[in-house]
Amino acid sequence: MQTDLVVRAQHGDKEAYADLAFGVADRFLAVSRRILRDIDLAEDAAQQALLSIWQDLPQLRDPARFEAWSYRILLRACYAEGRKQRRWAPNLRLLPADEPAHGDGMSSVADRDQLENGFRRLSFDHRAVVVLHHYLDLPVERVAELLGIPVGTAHSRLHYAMRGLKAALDADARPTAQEVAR
Amino acid sequence: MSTDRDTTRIVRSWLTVEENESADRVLGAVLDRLDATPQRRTTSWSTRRFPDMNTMMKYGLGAVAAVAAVALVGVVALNGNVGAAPLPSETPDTTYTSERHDYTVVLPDESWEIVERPGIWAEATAFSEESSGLDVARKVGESELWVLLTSQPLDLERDEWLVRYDGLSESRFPHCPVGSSESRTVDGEQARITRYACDPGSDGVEAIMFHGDRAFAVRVFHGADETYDSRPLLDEFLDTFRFGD
Repeated sequence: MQTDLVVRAQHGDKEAYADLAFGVADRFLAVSRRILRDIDLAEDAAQQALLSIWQDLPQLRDPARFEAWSYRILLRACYAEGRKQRRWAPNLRLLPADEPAHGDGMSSVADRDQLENGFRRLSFDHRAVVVLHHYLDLPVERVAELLGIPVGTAHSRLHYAMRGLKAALDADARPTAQEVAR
Repeated sequence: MSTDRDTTRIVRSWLTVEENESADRVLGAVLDRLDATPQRRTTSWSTRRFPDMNTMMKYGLGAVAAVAAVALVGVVALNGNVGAAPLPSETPDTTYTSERHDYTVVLPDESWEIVERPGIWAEATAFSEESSGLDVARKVGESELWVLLTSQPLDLERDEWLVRYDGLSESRFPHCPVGSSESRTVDGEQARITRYACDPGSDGVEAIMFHGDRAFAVRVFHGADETYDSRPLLDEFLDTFRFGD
């Protein structure tokens, strides 16, 4: 079904492309928001990616590979948006932190703050692997395919990223000097 | 101390916190612009291939093309034009002179351009391709690579200026920690070459130089291509960089 839409969109069928875009837009926005940590940048990245996909669709040789191809374009758009703001510019705004606490594993607001800080210290390449694997729940092999990198590299990036996030959480768990002194 | 399993659980939970996201606005904007956005149907080898190649591959292919062109000219000369009057050189002059910043530099080739950003550069303001007072050199159509050139009057001793520059940079841009430093000569002056690694995704290498009563900065920035080394391009610019009199 999706392949049929892709082929029609490749030939300039705008309705087919609208259907395609409708099917991926929410997920694109969710992924870009998690990578960029900023809703405005994420919307710009998703929008730019969807327009680039439309423009370049005629050059996609194998319509069956649309998903991987489109994610690569989305990630490139995320990189571009992130660089636009972050190149010698102050840190991006934090996502709103007033969501209700979840009882399903997110132990504390402190955890969230530490994760936010830890995640921001990761490169986009590392963030992308974390989001695709732990948010979209894709196997590492599939993540590697989407990113166009060797599986070993994807494993390595995931390991490095998770080690950084674990360190961020552990730093928060360490008692402060004041607490030790009590 | 959290276990790996704890970390995975917490990270997964954290990533799913914001669930009420809707891309309606994004989708609406995209569909509005679809009519005005033509699809790229070109089959030209060069325009199809170049956007997907990294910069070094482009330079490599450019070099191959240049060698092939020279060879072709040689074959034509041997086959029929022997004895003909030599053609005048067609090599375009890519020398760029900045009156306001008082330097000249030779761009790598005619596919490069320089855009002069208006205003005055002050150290430790945002040093991006959109910042005030910079001469932004870029390869036309290339969105991943910039060379930024600028200068400002020197209001302190050179060492003091550097200390202030580094201090301001460090405090304003903590996500761009300074890496290794080395030195080289640029038009008879010592240049400090410093690498930066900005979080996330971009990094750069910068030359700071002093000449007369001005401080000069040349910086190469590139995108997330992990294999690209900015230093050769910086050296290419510095090799031809000349201070004004």
